[in-house]
Amino acid sequence: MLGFEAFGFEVFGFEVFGFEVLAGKSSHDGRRQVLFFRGALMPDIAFPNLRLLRSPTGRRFWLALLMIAWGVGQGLADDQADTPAAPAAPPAVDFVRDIKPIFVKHCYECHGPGEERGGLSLSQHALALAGGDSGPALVPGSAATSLLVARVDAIQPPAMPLDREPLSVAEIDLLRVWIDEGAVWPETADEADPRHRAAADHWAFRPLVKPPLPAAATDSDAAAGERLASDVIDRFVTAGLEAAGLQMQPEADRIELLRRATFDLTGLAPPPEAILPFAADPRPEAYEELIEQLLASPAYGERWARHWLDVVRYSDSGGYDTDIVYEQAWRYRQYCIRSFQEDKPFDRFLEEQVAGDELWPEQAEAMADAVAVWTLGQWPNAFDAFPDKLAYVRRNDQVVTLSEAMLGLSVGCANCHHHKYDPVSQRDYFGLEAVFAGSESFNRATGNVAWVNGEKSHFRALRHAAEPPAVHLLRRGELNQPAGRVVPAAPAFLPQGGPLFLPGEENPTQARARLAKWITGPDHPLTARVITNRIWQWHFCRGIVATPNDFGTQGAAPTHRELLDWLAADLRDRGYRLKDLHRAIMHSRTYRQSSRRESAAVASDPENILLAGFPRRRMEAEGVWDRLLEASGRLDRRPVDEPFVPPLTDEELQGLYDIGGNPRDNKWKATEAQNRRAIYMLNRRSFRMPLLEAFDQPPNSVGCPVRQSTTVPGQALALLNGDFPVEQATALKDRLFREEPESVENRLKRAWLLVFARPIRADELTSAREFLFSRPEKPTADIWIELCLALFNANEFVYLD
Amino acid sequence: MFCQPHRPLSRRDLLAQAGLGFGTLAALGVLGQEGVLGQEGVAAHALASRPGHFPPRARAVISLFMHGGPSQLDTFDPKPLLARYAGQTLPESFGSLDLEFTKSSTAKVLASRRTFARYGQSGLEISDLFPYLASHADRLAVVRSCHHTEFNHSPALYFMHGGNRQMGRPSLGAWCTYGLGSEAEDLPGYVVMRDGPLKSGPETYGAGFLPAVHQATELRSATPPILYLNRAAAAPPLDTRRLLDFAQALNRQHAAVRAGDDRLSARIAAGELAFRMQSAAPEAIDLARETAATHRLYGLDRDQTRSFGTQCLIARRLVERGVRFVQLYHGGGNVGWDTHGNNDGQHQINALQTDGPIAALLEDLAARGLLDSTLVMWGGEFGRTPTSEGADGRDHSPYGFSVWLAGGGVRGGMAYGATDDFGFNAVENKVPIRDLHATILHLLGLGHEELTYLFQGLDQKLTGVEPARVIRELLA
Repeated sequence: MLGFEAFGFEVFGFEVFGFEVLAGKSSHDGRRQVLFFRGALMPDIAFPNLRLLRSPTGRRFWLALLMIAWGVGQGLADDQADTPAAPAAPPAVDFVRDIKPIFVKHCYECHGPGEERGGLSLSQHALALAGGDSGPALVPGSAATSLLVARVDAIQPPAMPLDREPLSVAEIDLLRVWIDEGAVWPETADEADPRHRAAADHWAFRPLVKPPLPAAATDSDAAAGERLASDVIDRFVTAGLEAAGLQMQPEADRIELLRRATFDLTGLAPPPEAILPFAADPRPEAYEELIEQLLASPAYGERWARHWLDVVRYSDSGGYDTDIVYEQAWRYRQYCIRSFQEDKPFDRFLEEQVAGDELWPEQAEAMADAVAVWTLGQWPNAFDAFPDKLAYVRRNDQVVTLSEAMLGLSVGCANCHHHKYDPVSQRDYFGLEAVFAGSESFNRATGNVAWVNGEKSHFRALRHAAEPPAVHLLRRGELNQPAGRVVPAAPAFLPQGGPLFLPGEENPTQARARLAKWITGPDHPLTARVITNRIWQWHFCRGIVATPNDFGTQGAAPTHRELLDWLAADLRDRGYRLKDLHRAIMHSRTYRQSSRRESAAVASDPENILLAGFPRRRMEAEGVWDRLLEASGRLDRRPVDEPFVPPLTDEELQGLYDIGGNPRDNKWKATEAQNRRAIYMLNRRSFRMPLLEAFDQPPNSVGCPVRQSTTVPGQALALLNGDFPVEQATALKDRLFREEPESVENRLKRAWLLVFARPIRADELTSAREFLFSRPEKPTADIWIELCLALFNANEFVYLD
Repeated sequence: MFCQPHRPLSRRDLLAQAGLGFGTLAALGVLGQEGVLGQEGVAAHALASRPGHFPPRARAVISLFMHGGPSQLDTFDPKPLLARYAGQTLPESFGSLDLEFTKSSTAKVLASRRTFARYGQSGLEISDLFPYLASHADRLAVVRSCHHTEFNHSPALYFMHGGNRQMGRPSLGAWCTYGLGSEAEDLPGYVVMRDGPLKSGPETYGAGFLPAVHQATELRSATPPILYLNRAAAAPPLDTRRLLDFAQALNRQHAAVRAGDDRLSARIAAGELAFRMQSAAPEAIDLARETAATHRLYGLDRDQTRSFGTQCLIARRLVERGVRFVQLYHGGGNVGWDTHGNNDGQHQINALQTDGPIAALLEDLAARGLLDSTLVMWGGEFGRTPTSEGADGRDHSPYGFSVWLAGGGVRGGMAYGATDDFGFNAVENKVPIRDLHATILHLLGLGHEELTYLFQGLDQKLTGVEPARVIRELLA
């Protein structure tokens, strides 16, 4: 088939025309598939007030005329291709008047503001130029090679708009002219992305300032920093409760408070000798002294570093078939423990992890421990022979971990497409990748580049890559579909976002440093809010924002937004000292209230969002392990560098695969060091110690923002029958007989202090005696083990008021 | 991953995370006694059996996973051309495909030593590796055009189970109990049995970001059948019932003054269910209750078939007891179907061990009227190359391989899709794994677009972000 199509213009009352030659065939769906070229009998430049002739009759007339003029046209068309339009002349087609209405009518449903089906949005000039998954949509000056035209004219499948009424020939012609004239698109004609509008209003993206306090804000003692902060907590929480007709509970029983605060800050129980004296101490400052003592304990660092390790997906191995051990990952773990113990300002803590090597090169070793966090992601060994894929997987892990852990932003989806709800674009995502692309993992022992096949030692940190790969925006996140090159950048929609370097001043050896300083900058709306929320969550089991890794528009709404802002601003303004925040929280009446809840509060606020009562907590997996050992008297409080490996039975080891067929010796060889706190235990990605797994220990394939707290029969089986709990019950029995050899009553009193951290009640003493003496035929030792195991299986052991 | 997703915990969730059946709670009198577990809570319970999005064709699944990757070319996808090209390289048009150990551009074609014949009324082609299964040809829907891109075990295993190459995604079985709960009262809803550890570890059949109650429980044919179901032999002789009673008395006192906390009563109930599992699980795997004829049918009287036959027979017993999803593995911990060398010999060994038991399972399920409501599926993490590795092995190939479905809602006696003349790439009616998953969910009454869970800011689906299609051609 050969055919002609034509279009005409009316210019100052004269009609001129252009034409197209169509060569092709009808496709099966009845639409045209054509090869075409375009020419004009009058040069289609420099005519103001052009108006397309839309009448079908007119078209037919021109078509007839064109058949005759074919040869001339072809010659002219060839000339035209090499002759750009005169630059001074205004375009014949006006974007706002002629083109945008076409987009709105035909394209916006899928490619309009905030829509980018197939990765393409036609709402903004830059986005249209960037194109979608199939490539750039527009080639200014060349309609013939612009995908947009090929699709709407059904030259290249799939024809657009998909499954809808096609554009009229006139509309397509307009598009052609507009593109050939340079696709002029005034900036003012861009449609705002609704995600940006939503982001501008979204509370977490707005500047962080201290909100006014509710009620009487200027108390006489409001001057003292911490006291004020505690008071502020109580004011905001009380305001929320009063609005719901609820009230705070009275202060918790002294012994409950002792156990709560001790576990909260150290993950352990108060020493049995300290329990009754604390309960009897009438001084009001006794509680504050306790908090200071706990914050100064090394155990504080062990407990709170564990929280952070969850967030940054810490693990001692790489996962997948080989689950290769990261032999020196522990250095990062120890770095975190030290940092919490020292109360390192949190902004400094973040800066050291993101770019310690760049910012403080004189502390090379210590900073290498900190930046090693970016070398601890999963290692898909299948990609050993495909270094570019491996590097891509690693960068993805780095970007996702950084943005979720430090910014509370889920950017992972922007790997493949613009974020569906938040204003995070693919460019933002790859901008962060570009930051990391300037660095490579290397083996600190040998100096070799890590992450490649054959590099067996996994003692890694980051350094600057000699030849950093160029990072491209990847359509659909596919390595084989690179689009434009991307420079190191922070998410553009945040203050001071966008490229981290001005053009010409790029310095790849300072890219992470720039990012670090951007994250901790005083104007950053997220950093302080995100860590304040985490600290709150780790005290109260639930964050003020219940989605601590997602402060975006789809995250949970804050339950006490002003309180969070106040505390976050206070933390930032006073130098990011986390221990100050602990004090503020733990001194508050909100924290100190009883966990018993009134039925009215349970009925109206079943999830205890408003905090009418302290939230009861189930110990995390590590708490169960540590407390079993502590109660039995076997806990070895000494830290260890290299992770310790407890002995496991064959039954427990059944899930562990080893390519050599010998998991016990190759992947889970019990170490000499034993009975340490669980934070020091080997943490494999492909296999977890089954007791800890039963109590919801995360495998850390990706970061874990909130521990689950499930109640499943497997936990009961583990605590009833597992070797480890039975051994600790036996050891506790021995300890009781050793420490209280004389009297059954004293032994029972001691047992309650060791396991529940409280004195035994009279009725319990009676029922325990009955349990012990109702089976005279059974050996005493076994009955005592039964008793100890029963205590470990009691709810009170794993739940803290 | 045992990690609460980005979502606040509601009371509903708390209940949902307790792995307890309604009957358990009712039997304990927890409901009335505590007055805290309203009907709403029970109805929302994670493992309570509940309807899907539309009426199901199957209510249970038995997945027979051939770990290592069986060769499509020696089982269900005959390619006579291989014999003609044996010893030569593939035509250049194949280009270079990513493989684990060999190069597709230089490796030589390896002919299959198997002979294929047509079976049943349908004339479905099956190789002589599976003489028993061949008698069920009219029950099988063989998909010859499955494909993905993961040519290494772990990512491929994660892909086949979780629809994504990354570890940490919920597996198919977890999605099923998440969507439908379980009808089993004293047993877990999602059970795994395997003959050795998997190369990709227990995460393969994990619950990922779904609540941990959907984690698979591993049932072992050894004693004890569930981890920690019994105490070690060397442990002191303790009376579990008695010590549990003592603990539960403490727990009731403890809970009585802490009204409004459902977790405390849920944990009391979980302790009781654990205790009852100590007898229910051994009962479920106690094959002494099966007739001698059944033992023979599943091959329990023969060395080669005893191991997998036991798994298959237990699978039937579990489905009878209401378990939603039974995942069996053959080939764990050793060469299995990963035939980099001695492809033919090793396939014969594997076939000897599995053919009879699988045929027995189909026959037994049918005889008991369970096959109509039980979806049985067979496959591995990928197929194998038409070219040789070493003299007589085949490398991994994910680009075109066979799986089959049978039972609940499946149109039997058909082959769907095709690979190229060498059996390397799926070329006709290609079936990405998401389509396979969508089809399985569909048979269970679950819409793959509707079965979602919010995590990392996205409504996560088993089938991922690309559009998936229910393969209607496979439905009865």
